Amino acid sequence: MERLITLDDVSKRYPNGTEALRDIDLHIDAGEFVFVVGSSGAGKSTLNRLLIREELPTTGRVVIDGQDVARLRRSQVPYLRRKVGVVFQDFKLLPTKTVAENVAFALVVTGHSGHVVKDETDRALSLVGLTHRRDHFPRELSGGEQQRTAIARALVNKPRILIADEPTGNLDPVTTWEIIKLLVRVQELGTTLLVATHNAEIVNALRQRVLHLDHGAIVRDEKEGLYAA
Amino acid sequence: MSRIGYVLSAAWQGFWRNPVMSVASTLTVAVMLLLGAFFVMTDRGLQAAVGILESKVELVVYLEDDAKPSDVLELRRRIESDPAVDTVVYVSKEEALRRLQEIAARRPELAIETVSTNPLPNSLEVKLRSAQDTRRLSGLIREEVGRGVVYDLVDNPTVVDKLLTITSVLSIGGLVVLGMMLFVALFIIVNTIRIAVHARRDEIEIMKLVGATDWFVRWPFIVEGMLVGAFGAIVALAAIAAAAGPVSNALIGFLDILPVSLGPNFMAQLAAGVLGFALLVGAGGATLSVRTHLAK
Repeated sequence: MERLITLDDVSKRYPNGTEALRDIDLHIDAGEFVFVVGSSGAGKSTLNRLLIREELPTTGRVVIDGQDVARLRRSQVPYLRRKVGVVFQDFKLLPTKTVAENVAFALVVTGHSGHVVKDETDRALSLVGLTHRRDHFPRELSGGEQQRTAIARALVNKPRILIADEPTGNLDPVTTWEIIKLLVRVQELGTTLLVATHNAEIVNALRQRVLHLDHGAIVRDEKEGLYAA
Repeated sequence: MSRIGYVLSAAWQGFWRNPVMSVASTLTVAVMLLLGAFFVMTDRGLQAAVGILESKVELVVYLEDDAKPSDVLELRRRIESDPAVDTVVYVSKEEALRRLQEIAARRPELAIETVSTNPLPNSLEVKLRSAQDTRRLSGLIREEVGRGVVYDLVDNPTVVDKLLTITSVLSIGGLVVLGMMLFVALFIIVNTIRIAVHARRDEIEIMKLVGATDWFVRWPFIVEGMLVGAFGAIVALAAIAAAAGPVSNALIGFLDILPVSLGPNFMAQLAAGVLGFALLVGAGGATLSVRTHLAK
């Protein structure tokens, strides 16, 4: 198995003294599906921010696809981010753009043009099942549709990793399952998934790897794990 | 949409998203450019005048159009008899106009205004053996003014001195005012772009998340700054085009005897300079703004 993400003795202290992560050793292989669980403030968001290099570790190394993120020059960071797609609880769609434009935006601003933008946008929209909603604006969509748009946008640049931060936090149970099924499908197509969640039901149903964070430390790392030990 | 298409449309949208601020900065840039262009034009006009005057003789005695030839000859004899005088040459009004046209032909920044009547007077050009005697001799000749022969006397060194003083005062004053205007223009552009950055912060956040390069994030704002500069230049150039006639008339009036205006060549250079400077200021202000407000 190819090792895609490595955290080597990583700690993160914020300037105000908060120790968000402590002595994290973690390996994630390409193609894995990993749930990250833990109470609010356990360090899930900090972990995500380290993986997209929005933050640098105070000590230790974060290696993604063979690159030590701390050694990346500023100009190289965008290329790391193209390997790591991100989806949020609040979707972060641009309200003035349609579904298709929101997805195409990720391609345009990474320097693509012409038929590449059209073809890849169509492909991503059909993957998330939103082809029929392509010309609608975010406010005209249900929460689930908005999240599917966000997933399409995160995937359209073909990242190796997809990080989902509470992707179903704002969704009802039925829609939650739609999104989870979509994420499983994304993983089956070869993308590595990290899903931070508070939803015990889906974690227990899927029986994937579970990473439990508590006060910045990994207290449990189980293959085919449950939400609670 | 292509890369350049994206940058241009984002810049265009950015400009019109906050029209009051954009128009305010455009007008500030226009005023700055107008002032700058005005100083450059005045300075060039005065320098041309200085050049022309310096190349001429030291004392010019302008004669009344209706002076009697015998009186003129008598005056000429008297001046020639002064030991300080080297030569005295009679220049007819036709000769004077021909010379002026020659000078203008050699200086592409000057063009002769078409005048129906020749405004130049007949004159005596007096070359002195030494410049120190200018003041004494001009004093003598000045006594003749108003007695029917001598219409006026141009004491070249004094005129040149005065012009040089005016030119340097104008240049220094112009530079100071221009410097202040540049500061104001930069300040307002920085703020316009800062507001534009703020208005698009969500878009910028997404751009960074999906891996847009820093330059891709910055370019729309820099182009927006250049747009402010370009619009400012258009406004300023339109104003210059409208004012060019009256201003060069005023210049001619100021220089009294020189029916010259700023040539088309010079005006083209000026327009190119104004536009180039405006784009530079716009891009510079935007870059400054983006650097401080788009860090991280």
